Amino acid sequence: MNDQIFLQLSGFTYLLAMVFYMSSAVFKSSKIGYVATTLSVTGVLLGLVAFVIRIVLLYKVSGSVGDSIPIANLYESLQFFALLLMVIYLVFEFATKIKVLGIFSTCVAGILIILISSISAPADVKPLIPVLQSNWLIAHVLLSFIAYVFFTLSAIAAIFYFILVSKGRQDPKYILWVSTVSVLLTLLLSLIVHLVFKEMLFISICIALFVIIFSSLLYYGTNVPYYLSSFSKDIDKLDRYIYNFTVLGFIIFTIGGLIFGAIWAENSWGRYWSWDPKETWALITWLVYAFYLHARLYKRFDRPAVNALAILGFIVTIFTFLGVNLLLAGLHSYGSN
Amino acid sequence: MKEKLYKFCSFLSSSKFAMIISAAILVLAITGSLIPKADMAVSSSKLASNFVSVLGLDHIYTSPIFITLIALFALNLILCTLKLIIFDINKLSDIDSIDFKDHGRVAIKHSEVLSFLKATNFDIKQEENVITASKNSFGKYTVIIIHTGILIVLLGALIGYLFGFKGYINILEGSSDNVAVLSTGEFVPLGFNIKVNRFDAKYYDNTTRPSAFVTDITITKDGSDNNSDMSSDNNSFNYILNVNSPLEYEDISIYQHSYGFYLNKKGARFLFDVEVDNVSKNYEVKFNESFKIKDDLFGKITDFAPALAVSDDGKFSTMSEEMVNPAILLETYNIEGEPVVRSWLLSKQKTSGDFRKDYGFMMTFDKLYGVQYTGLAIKKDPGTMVVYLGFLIISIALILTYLINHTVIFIQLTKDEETGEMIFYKVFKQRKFGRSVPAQLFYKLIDKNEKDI
Repeated sequence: MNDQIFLQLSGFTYLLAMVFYMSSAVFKSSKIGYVATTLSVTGVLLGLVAFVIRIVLLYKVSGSVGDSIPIANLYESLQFFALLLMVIYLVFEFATKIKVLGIFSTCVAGILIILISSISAPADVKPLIPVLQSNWLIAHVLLSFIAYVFFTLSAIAAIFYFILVSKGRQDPKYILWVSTVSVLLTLLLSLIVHLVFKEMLFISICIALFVIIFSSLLYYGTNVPYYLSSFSKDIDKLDRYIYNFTVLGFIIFTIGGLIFGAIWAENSWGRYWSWDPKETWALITWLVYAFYLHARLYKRFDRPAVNALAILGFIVTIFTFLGVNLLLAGLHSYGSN
Repeated sequence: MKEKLYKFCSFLSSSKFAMIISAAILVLAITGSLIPKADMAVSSSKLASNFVSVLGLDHIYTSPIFITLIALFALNLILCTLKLIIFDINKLSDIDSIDFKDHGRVAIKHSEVLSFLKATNFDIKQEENVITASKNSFGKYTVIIIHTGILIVLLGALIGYLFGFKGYINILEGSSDNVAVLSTGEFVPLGFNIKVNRFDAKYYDNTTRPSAFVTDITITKDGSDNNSDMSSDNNSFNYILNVNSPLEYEDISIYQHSYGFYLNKKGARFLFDVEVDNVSKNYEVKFNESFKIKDDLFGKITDFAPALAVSDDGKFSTMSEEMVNPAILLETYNIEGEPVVRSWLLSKQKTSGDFRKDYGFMMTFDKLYGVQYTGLAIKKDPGTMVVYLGFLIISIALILTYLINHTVIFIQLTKDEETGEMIFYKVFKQRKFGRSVPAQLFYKLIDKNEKDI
């Protein structure tokens, strides 16, 4: 059995759900929103099937259930991250009945799944190398990913926060959300084009795409707040979500990412901290979010400045999660080889 | 002078200083993460690598400037934490700074307020007509505890830096050593001897993907007799070393770190079984040592390789420098010394030693011994437990900080001619969006009474 087909189907379903989440916001229709949620749940189920197939395949080569959780290389971790993001997002949606965050949650999940095939992350089922055969693998990786998901959701909430608080096209807050959304959409579109035509897009075309999206959003974006009825201008609510996602992510990241990682490293490499690029970038991520938590207390920073840190934190998180593995050599480069 | 010193101290404890130091640490750490470490550097360009090493960029994390920055960060953290303890801890319950007239007011029976506060488990202090009701007071300590935890981690790191060491030993299978080499080139006597009885790099079937690295070692305390019987000697014991399961002995930890192949013809031992007429016998022979297979047939091992593969047309090739599929070359001769058969035996291809049909024996090659070394990392770090203590404190305090929201409600009991008994109130919450919001109940009480009017 092949898990990749289910994975690709789940990615497709997420992107379809994204379109429905958007339409639900534009047409203010709860029926369309219902379809969007159903699609998201379907995508999660498909992702789960892919995940379970992968466990079975791994179990066949490793012979141990503990060593068969598919989170050990780039292919598996991207797949797992997308699944986790959508599961936690759906829990949030069911708890709060707020659907707009679904637009970007499905968008990010879709991007991650298309990314798997774009960078042709090797999908072969391989058993664990000795250093990864540890109970800390699940504790450390699972908790780090949950933290990354919370950081992602906090950045998504921050995008909506900036959509609501920005005033006019000259406002830096307006430029901030327009550029963030444009980057996400450009990434998504270029990945889709790459997937369909099997050609790497020229950087110049990517830039052109970005410019088109950016300028049209810049022009039409002033209408967007009108569609965000679920917050009915309740900025405090968004502020609360950003804060709660960040704090949860920060606690889980500190314990699961940094502390568990350190204990595991001590146990297998004989040093709890070795300034490996992944460790360094995890520390940078941690410092950015620690800064967010402290900046909230100082009057010197106004609320938008603080919440911009949630977006900055997300960019750093993505680099810690993917950039380090793809671009820098180090002890954590399990995915790339 | 005093004033200047005071100003300097308050700058050192300021959030501004914390930001400057963190930013400097970030810049250096990012630079360091982008430059390959000294031991991994590939000299792509001599000029570039000179540039990197002249500026000390390949050793950023151990450079004096980086360590100074970390020390300043710790100093800032200590001063901030002291400041929190001295000034901020009672900030929420500072009555003098409150002007009640500015804050909320509602007409309500005083007895109702008091019974509400008691029923909801607020700690109540009353001075004349002012009530201070507080809840979750432990919350004011949690942030201080987190910061203290970080300081304890840094203290543990300092202890390790001052009193610990990290070194490596490569030991060939079958031999022993008692001195570690540090990365500085220094030699450190361990005070005990490590003998490697056996090293195995195991691979998943038919792949070069490793599944386990296992070293079987015997530790013998220096000065005790190496050959003494193990059960009667407390100074000697066996241990199976695995990746992820280090050995802690005295105050030193030993880790499985690396391994390698070493073409050691002199020390090599070949372990195999020979089966003649359904009777099997174990052999252990040296390189070029002759052994008897059966009455008129003798053999010796004249070559070996770490990883031989056979292609479809029967040709041999070395596929890896690692011992993925070790092989030995068997040469046999008869009683007159004339060669009989010459063949490679592959440990993972048992049929390669099956000569039953033509020569009446079968040989199963088990292990090539003494040609691999195991790389052990040796570490002494008395600070590790301190670091772990810091980790524990940070983890618990972080969770508590999220769950506990220190709340203080100040209530001034007054009377008004129009409405009768009424109160002024002011609510302080440690965290606006905390997980628990004890003030919510109070707001409900207020709302109810406002509706009554």
